[in-house]
Amino acid sequence: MNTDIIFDQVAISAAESLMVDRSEIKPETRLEDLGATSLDFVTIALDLEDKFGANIFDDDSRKFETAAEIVDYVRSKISKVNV
Amino acid sequence: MTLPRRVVITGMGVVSPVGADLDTFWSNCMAGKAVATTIPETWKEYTTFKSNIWAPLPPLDFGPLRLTLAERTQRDPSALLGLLAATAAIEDAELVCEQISIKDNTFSLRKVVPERAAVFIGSGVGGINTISNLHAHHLLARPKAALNDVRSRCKHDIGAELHSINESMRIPSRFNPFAVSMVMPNAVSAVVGIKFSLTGPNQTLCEACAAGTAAIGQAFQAIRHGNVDLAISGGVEYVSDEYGSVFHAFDAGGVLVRNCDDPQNANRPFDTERSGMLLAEGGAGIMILEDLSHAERRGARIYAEISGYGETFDAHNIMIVEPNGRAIMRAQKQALSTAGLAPADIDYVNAHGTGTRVNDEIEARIILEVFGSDILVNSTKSILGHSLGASGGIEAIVCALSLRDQATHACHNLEAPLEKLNFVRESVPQRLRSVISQSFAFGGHNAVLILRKWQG
Repeated sequence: MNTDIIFDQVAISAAESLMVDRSEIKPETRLEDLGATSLDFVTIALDLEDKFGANIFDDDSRKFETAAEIVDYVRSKISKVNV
Repeated sequence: MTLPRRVVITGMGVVSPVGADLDTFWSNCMAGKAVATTIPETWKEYTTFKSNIWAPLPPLDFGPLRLTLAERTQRDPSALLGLLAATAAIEDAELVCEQISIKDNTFSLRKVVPERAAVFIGSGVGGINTISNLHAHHLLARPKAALNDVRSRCKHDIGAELHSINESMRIPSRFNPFAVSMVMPNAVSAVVGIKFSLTGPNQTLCEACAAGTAAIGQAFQAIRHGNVDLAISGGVEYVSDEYGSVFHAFDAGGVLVRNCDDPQNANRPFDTERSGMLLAEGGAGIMILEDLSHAERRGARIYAEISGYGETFDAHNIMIVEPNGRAIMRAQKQALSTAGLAPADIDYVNAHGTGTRVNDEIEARIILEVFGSDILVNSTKSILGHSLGASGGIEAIVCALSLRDQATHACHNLEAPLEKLNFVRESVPQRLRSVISQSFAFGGHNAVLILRKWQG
């Protein structure tokens, strides 16, 4: 799946979870700088699982720092699912 | 000695099968527009029920709450119902919400000292929707995957049958990692306390069908004795799930209404032909209670005064009201004593009135013995079914609106009363000075509130 499409979905989930404007989420944005807690990372992860229809996060979801890291992780997981 | 403080109702919010706002709810009650319909067809795939009707909630609009992603995905429906009714009650009380955190979607209440504001909410079963759905996931996720694997290796016709069986085992797409905070019964009180940043006592009264009444009673006492100035209180319940598990539990217990071929006439509290209670999908009845001087200082509109409360326990049987009614009468006397009233001062009893053979017979006899045959009696459950822990909160709202309007609703479907009591047969003007709302519960809990007409 295209990285831009995944990033759009990550940005939407992060913006909605953190109640910030979508434009504040850039690939290099550290979500903790926008007030994200470990629980927010779980919330974002669950929302992305709903969007991509796969059980992709397990317990790894609390280790991300930037939006780009989440995008990379989702892309790698989706490619495994597709295989 | 300092006199106890007076406690008044300044705001109310309701979610019920007959309306999810105060005006719709009350006009439907007064018009006798009862709700009873067949249970979801999918539930019948899991068992054969003896009863098959219930009172579902109308479509609910959570839009005004502007729920965050976290709130939408990490709250049991019971907590959301509580939030909906509490928010409506706060708006009704004209308390001004000021946003504290956009991210957390939390507020403070202007002119309310957070440390002097409490939350007392009753619930019979807490987050049972979450328990039921996630238990199904826990139990079936792997067997379903295994079944799917076998299906893929079977011939077409057997594979189709296995697919059909697999599809009938409905489970959520995942196990929710927030399950604990959704399941715990105190979630509803906690969610309301967090939303409005109230840091006084925060309690969930878990007393089955008396929970809502007991919660209002505890709030009344906390304000009356000066512990807090304001309380959000009432009852909340949501008992539906994908499989009809809670309905099954009550059905197996033999307490649900029969004669289901005629749903509109099946639910008949206090009628000689009654056959059981009509289970409601859920509900919420929330009140804003305030110390009178607190309410007056901010110029609040007052619906009614709460003047008495009594609470006792049968210590008899976990499912059956004590036949001699001693503990219930003791609760009534406590409430009368608190209010400084005699039985003759009470004009109307909003009865527990479930429609079960045992409850109604004992309750009618007690009302006759304590209050005589002239007192007005009705059962709100005759219109909207039984919403368990929410029912006491909703019925207290009925009492407050009855006092405001000097009229109450009829006892629906009552044709052949089981006792010579003065049951309300039509919604006509009445003289209502002080009224009682009483609730009894599995376990043996009894709670009795007295509300007084606000004289201004």
